[in-house]
Amino acid sequence: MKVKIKKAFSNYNLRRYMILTGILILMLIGFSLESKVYVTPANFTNIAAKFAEIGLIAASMSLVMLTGDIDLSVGSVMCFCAFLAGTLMQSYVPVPLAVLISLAVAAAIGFLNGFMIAVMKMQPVIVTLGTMTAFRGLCYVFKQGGPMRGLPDESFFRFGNGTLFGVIPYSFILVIVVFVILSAAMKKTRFGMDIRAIGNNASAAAFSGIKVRKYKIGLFTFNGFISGLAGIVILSRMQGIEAALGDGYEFEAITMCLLGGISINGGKGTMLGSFIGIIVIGYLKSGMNISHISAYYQSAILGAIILLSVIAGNLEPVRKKKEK
Amino acid sequence: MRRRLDWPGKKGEGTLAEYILQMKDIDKTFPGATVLNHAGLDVRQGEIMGLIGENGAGKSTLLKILTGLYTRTSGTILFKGREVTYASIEESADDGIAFMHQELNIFPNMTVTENIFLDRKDYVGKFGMIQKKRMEEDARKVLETLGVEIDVNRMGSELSIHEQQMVEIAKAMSMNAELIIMDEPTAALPENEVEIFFQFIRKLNRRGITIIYVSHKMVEIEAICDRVTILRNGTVVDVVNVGETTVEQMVNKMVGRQLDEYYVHTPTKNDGVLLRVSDFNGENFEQVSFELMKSEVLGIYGLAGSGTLELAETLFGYRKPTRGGVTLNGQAIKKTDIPNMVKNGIAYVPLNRKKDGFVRDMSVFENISMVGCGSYRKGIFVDWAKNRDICDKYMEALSIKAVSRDTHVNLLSGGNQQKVVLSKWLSIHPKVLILNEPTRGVDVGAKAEIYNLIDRLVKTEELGILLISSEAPEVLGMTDRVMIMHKGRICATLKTEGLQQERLLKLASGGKEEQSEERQEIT
Repeated sequence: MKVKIKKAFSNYNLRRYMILTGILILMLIGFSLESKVYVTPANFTNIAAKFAEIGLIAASMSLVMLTGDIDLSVGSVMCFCAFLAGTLMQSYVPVPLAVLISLAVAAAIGFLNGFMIAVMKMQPVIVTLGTMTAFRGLCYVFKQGGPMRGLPDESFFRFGNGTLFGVIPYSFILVIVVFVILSAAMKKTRFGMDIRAIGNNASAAAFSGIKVRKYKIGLFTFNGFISGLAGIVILSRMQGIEAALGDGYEFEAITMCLLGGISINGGKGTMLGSFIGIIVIGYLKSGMNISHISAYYQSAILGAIILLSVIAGNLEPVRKKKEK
Repeated sequence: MRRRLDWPGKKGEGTLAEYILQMKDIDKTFPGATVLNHAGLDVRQGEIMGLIGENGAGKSTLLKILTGLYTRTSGTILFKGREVTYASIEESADDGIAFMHQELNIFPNMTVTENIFLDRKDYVGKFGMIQKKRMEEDARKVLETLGVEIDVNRMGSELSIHEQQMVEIAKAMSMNAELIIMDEPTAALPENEVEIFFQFIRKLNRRGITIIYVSHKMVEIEAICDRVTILRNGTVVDVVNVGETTVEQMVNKMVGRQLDEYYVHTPTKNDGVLLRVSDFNGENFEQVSFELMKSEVLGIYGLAGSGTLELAETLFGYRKPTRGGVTLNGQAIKKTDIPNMVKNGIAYVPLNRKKDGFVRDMSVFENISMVGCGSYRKGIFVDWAKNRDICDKYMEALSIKAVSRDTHVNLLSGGNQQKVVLSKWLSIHPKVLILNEPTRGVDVGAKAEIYNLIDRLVKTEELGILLISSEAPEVLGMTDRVMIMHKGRICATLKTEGLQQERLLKLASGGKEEQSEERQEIT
């Protein structure tokens, strides 16, 4: 038994899952002492709905990060697409068509990112910082900086506010579906191996016949698409949109991935890890709200957790060096 | 200025003071391999000492031990009569030993002055400010004493290779170097600048600077060196005076005559053309045409920088050819990118194994199945169980020593890593296998296994192998025919049987073929 635990701990991913589950259990116990509401299904519904959009983004962000890249434009793209879809709906474009157009535009923005990074060989941080800033600016153009409220077809709001069996929000089911599909693709096809190979050593991957460039463009396009999807979800949930919404979502999504064990250098981590990362961050924030911890302290605590997660990820190589 | 000892006219044993450097009984063992075995290097004050040896003979290891990049397993080093052990290249530089690497360390975005005084602390004035004016003046002075006219405010990126070398030497001189090690200094230099460079070396030498000159090019060794130390398999075979020894004698000593049983390859029947390359042009090579037969091992022999690397990478689709094409089994390959080449059955074991060959933080299994896993499927999904069986099969067939197939490749020895790379390609049953220095950095045992494998493959698998190597014995022992490459062109294609090593080396270093004389005799 002892050997088994030790072996599991030597596995990077399993160790991650165990640490995160441990943190989650501790939080569930600790915060429920503060307030009984914390562990109720209602609170879960609340958290799941609130973090569905970032969760979606974290799913595709995991893939981008696995190849060793990063995408900072997701929050802006999400907000931009929500505005776009809302504007189209207010102009009486049928809801499905408005959604499709917005998603296509989002994917196109992602493609643009991918093209500049993979073909023009520009730095991902710089490219996506550029698109992040540009599309955030465009968000303010729609209503001259004001919010967008009320859509003609109110049936559209049902998705963002509905729940399955009264517990699981539809939007969170979407998150689970995306994670399951991506997880399956990672494990059952060569997709997972390919992107981890690219993240670990792009040169060796290219020399093995892996289409590095196509993968990168594809993943950025997908990330744009998912950001657009998150925009639709948030528009439906909030029944409107504000130009500043989604500011900082990119860092929250990246935090979830990092916490879940995705390495910032690429090549390491799993979809399951990222998923647990979402749950942990969601419950942590909810717990801090319930305990009336001030927003300023919340940031500080979150920052400390990011640093700790990086340290935990680095422990293994340090130990290995010592062994040598 | 500096104490200049008289040039020792007499040969043979000198007194201790005559030697600026004495390395004695240097041993170096890496896990699994002995690189240096009682090697040594005695250099007299003020001479130009050549250092030659085949790849893997231990030249660079010896020099790295001298300059503190490696630690020695045993042995002593005396520099200027004092026993020394440097912990780093900075320490040896402070003591007066400068190392000019094959790749020049010029920073493109810094001025000549900054490049010369880059890591110096003596120009920091009050409040930590850099004394720029004084630095520039000193840079000008150093260049002047060297008789070099380079504006000290030019950027590193604007300098020609020759000028970059001058700046490197100026850097060494500014640190009061007494011994300069030059590792293949002419590798990147155009032919017409070599003589200018030599004149410069001689001038340096007259100023009392001792030089260790490492090169593959025998012509240069003969032209510039006073004495030559010959290394083979980590041991000093001989130290000879240039002028008393012919190039042929030196090459013979360098190459030796052992290890015949190593090379197991016996000629095979060539049944038809497999790969036809016609008028192939690309970066660093031109007008390359050849045919690779089925079941043939065709060698490409060339020294570093001769264009073999670029040719191989272009054939595999990593680089784009500027002209010419490739025909496989009579079918022209139109799309020249790696995925398409792989689809057509062309495989490539790259030169730089760590960078291009395998993914170090992934398992043996993932590395081996990286190319071929998609061919075994269950519906739309990959059949991983089947792939694991195939991985096990190759791990057994090539006797890859790893704890399990889930072990990360960076934990394996060089030889086993190379076998993983080979397995990755063999699992897709390639038609053409391009091997670029397949035994570089591989221990002796694994080397023999790889040779065995090459021979077995062409006899059982019906493929053709292109074996690119700069190790003459390997080429002679393992190929059916050999093409010799020099300066981006194929200068000869010869049958390996009966081919002499000296002739191979001579052709590869740009020597003229003596065939013309033979022909005259015949006619």
